[in-house]
Amino acid sequence: MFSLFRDAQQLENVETQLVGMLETCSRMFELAVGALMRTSDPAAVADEIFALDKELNRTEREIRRELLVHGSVWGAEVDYGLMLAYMSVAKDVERVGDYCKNLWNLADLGVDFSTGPDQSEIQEHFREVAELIVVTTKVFRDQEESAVHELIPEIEKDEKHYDDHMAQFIRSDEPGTFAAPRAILYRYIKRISAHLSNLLTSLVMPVDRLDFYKKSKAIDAE
Amino acid sequence: MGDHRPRDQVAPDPTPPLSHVGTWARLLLTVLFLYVFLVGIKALERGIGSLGAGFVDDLFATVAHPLAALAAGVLATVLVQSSSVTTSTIVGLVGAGVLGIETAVPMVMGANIGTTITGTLAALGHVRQNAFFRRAFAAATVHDYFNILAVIVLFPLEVAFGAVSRIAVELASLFDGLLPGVSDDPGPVKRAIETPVDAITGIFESLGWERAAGSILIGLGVVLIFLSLWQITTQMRWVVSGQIEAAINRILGKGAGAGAMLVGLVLTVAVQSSSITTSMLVPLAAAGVLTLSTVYPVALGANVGTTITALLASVAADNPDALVVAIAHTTFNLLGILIFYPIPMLRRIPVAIAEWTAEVGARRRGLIAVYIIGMFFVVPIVILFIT
Repeated sequence: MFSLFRDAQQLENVETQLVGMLETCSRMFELAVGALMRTSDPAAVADEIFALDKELNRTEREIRRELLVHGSVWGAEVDYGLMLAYMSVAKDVERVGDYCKNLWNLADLGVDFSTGPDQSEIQEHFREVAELIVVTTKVFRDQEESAVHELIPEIEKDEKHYDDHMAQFIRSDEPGTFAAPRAILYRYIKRISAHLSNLLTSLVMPVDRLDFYKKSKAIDAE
Repeated sequence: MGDHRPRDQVAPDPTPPLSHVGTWARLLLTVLFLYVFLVGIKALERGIGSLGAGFVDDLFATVAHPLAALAAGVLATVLVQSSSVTTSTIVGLVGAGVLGIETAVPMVMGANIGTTITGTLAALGHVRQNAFFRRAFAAATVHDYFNILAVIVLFPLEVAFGAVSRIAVELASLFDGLLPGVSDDPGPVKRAIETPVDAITGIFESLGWERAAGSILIGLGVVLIFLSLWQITTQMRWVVSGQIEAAINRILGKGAGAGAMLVGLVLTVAVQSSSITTSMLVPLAAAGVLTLSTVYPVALGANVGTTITALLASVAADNPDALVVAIAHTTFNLLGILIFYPIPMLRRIPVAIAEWTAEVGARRRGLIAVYIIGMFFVVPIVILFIT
């Protein structure tokens, strides 16, 4: 009987959908990495990766509609800050999915990172990003605000590292077939990290500072 | 990449433990205000009854013509921004025996038109952005036009043949002996409603203020009706907002049709206000997530749902005609749906006019004011004067 009158103020459904989107991203990244490292045939996972991308886009649209309905129904009682934050988070997660699909596109174009002198380094970066998606999902789901302050500086360090790699390959004298895919790869994983970092800011930063992390400006800053 | 493991886990924020207590308290408040509402109807009925036939005849002589009654219904509802207040007051007046069915039914039809102004005014909030405004105004005015068209068709039939009231009389006869308003035995509900009104009347009589008692009871009745309907709507909106949200999300997935109509009906019965239901749809239509073809049936469902208030008010009335008028309100709205909704060509008429109005309004903003003032003020006032 209580559940009949459950108030939906807490936007529980949207939170669940966002966590589901992050899990979808995790799977997409796994598929893309499998294709790039040739543990799977890129063509064999094409249908699944496109289906997951569509699912992400559909969920993003659903979230927008649900937020709008929430605002219309609850009127002045609505937590507009939270609604705006969720709009932003949904866009970030959708962009992570896009970059995962773009990584798969590289594999589909014939890029193969399973051989080459930097194979193990690339493999390690893939492991880091995969782990970051999982950890971000958990931190967001459980609203672990303190963890955000530890994670974001680390992500920023990684982003710098990926940027340096990208610049290095852009300026490299290596053949284009070697340097170009790597420059693009580092750009993509940098963007994935940046969008996950943006998402995490929704847990600790005021709405006007979403995507612009600064510990001293965080809501929980002393 | 470093170790991303977070520090100590923070447990998810649980639902506030007192939120359900709030729900039950609000439900109890709703029941209490429903009782206050019925007491208000009874006070109004008693107050008017005590003023004497001559005074009452003079008061309602101006609306004796059906067209004047229709215009009065529009104006009264526009002024109080609630068809529930107007129709329940009409039911109270019929209950007091001062308003006949032949006058009350056109008034109720007018209330149906007047109530749409709230949605139309809500659409003005989107006037800054053309595309948003066009969609919002079309969503609001489709309700206006449907109700106007229903009146254009059914009002002459009612005046000429009593088309709506005859059906209502037949339907009301099914309740003979079952409801307090149409039963010889007042029953516990009616006794509970009469007790406070009897007590107030008794106080005035003991003070020797019999002449003032009528006017004071009328004033008290109107205040109680306003206050209680406002509170019922406020409390129920709080209680069922989650369900409203879920229902709108469902119709967004499934689109137009009988389901959307049912959603409009149930939501409006729950919050006792068609204005709340339709006003909630306007921003969604403005944003483009609800199409006009989905808003339209929800508004029609709201039309039927809002008639619950008059039906409830008839519980407090002594005169069985009060129930007839309340049922006539429901019948009128159902007939409107049966005439215009099943046949696609007819169903399209209010939509086409609303789209055209919105298009014109988006291009020439001044005409919006002309539409609102003309439709809801000038036309009814002119009708009142000529009749």
